Amino acid sequence: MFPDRPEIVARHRRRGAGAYRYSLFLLLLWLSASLLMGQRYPWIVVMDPGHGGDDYGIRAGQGSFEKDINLLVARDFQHILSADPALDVLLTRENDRELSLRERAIQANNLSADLFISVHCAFSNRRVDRGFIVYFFQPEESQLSSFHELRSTGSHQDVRLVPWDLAQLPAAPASRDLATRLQNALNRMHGKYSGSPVGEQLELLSKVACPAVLIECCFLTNSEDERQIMDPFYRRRFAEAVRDSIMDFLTTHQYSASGRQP
Amino acid sequence: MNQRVIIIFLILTLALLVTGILLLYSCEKRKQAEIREEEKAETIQTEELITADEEAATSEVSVKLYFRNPGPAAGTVGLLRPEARQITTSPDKRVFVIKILEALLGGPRSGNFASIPPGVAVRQVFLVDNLAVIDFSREIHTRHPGGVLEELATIYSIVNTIVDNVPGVERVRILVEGEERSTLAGHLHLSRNLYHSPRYLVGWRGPGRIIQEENLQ
Ligand SMILES: [Zn+2]
Repeated sequence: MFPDRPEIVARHRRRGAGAYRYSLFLLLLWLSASLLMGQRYPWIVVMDPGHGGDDYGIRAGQGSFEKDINLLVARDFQHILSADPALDVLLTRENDRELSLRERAIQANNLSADLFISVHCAFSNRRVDRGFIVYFFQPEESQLSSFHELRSTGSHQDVRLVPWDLAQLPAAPASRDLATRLQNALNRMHGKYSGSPVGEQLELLSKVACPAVLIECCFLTNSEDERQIMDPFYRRRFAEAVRDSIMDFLTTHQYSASGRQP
Repeated sequence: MNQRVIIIFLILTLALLVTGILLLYSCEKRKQAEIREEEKAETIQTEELITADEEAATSEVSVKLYFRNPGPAAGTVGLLRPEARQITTSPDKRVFVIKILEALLGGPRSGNFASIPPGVAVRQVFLVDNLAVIDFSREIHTRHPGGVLEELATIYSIVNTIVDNVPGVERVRILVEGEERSTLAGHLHLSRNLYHSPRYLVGWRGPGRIIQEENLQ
């Protein structure tokens, strides 16, 4: 029994090496082909439907929950954005399950996402409030100084080795730009809104290591907004505006957290 | 001979020890007495203050409570609106903080919206240097309506109200049922020191916080 074992291991190893070489070959083939064709690699976009499971988020007037609407909108985003061959769109949750903010950030970081969008809805005590809000992560002074400290110590030149809570800092300026582009595109789509994005201490975004925003895509406290977001045609237009500004952002920045170059 | 020396030596050290202990004990006693006297003096002072001036006991100060602004807001600007309230003073700063919080939890009186969900209680307040640690009951999380705007309104109505009205307090830390939470309603980082922020107030003209100038219907 035992004498067989090393052989099996060796064979496995050989097969493993073969597969490795083969995949390398395929990768090279694809690289050169895409270079020749002038095509981009797919960028990885992670869509995060906020809340889920026992965490309902906002309970809307018409009886719907924020967690369900977030999933609905994120799925539409995925559908519309995936149509572009340059984008690979993944969801942090595909069903109604509870997921911690940390787990969401881990998913995005492990996938080396190029872009992260958390989808939420807004609540306002003032029932007349309508529209959408795009948030980005606004670092505090203390976070900035500890980040610069980390960077100045030679061993941490690589920005990918920063602690969890500082993960967003290298991408913070890009996130702000992404938020502005999204806000402008959505303002244009709606026609009557003229806002600018908001920087806040958002717990989830602070842990994501790529350009990241949080969109509150409607006010669930406004019946007109709630009706609108349930309309598939409206959601399609919303998703298209998001897609256009994302493509705009990715091509101008050529930003790639994973080191891929377009 | 040797034995005698040892016995004498032992007796001497014993005597030294006893006198040392006695000395220390008397010192400690004197100190305690001094402290007690000081305390007595202090309480007499405060008692004097209160009894000398009946109004001082029920003396009220005007505090500024921040509630959710019901009027038109531009996104996060204008989320909060101050409301003046008379509150009885307390020589104990901790008691004063609790009184202010209770007034805030009691809700608005002049047309503002509440900024904290109903049924929330203050469990504990600790003051450490310039930091006020406030422990709320679970309802502040479980009954929170959700959304970033209301989360901001809840957090900064508490922080701004405390820092604005309690001298010496510059930072606030919010606990829920005695524990730190990463967020209150799933969005904003809560387990950190929170500082007074004017950017959510009505009339704020500072940099870069304005979003939708909408609702023009
Ligand atoms: Zn939400």
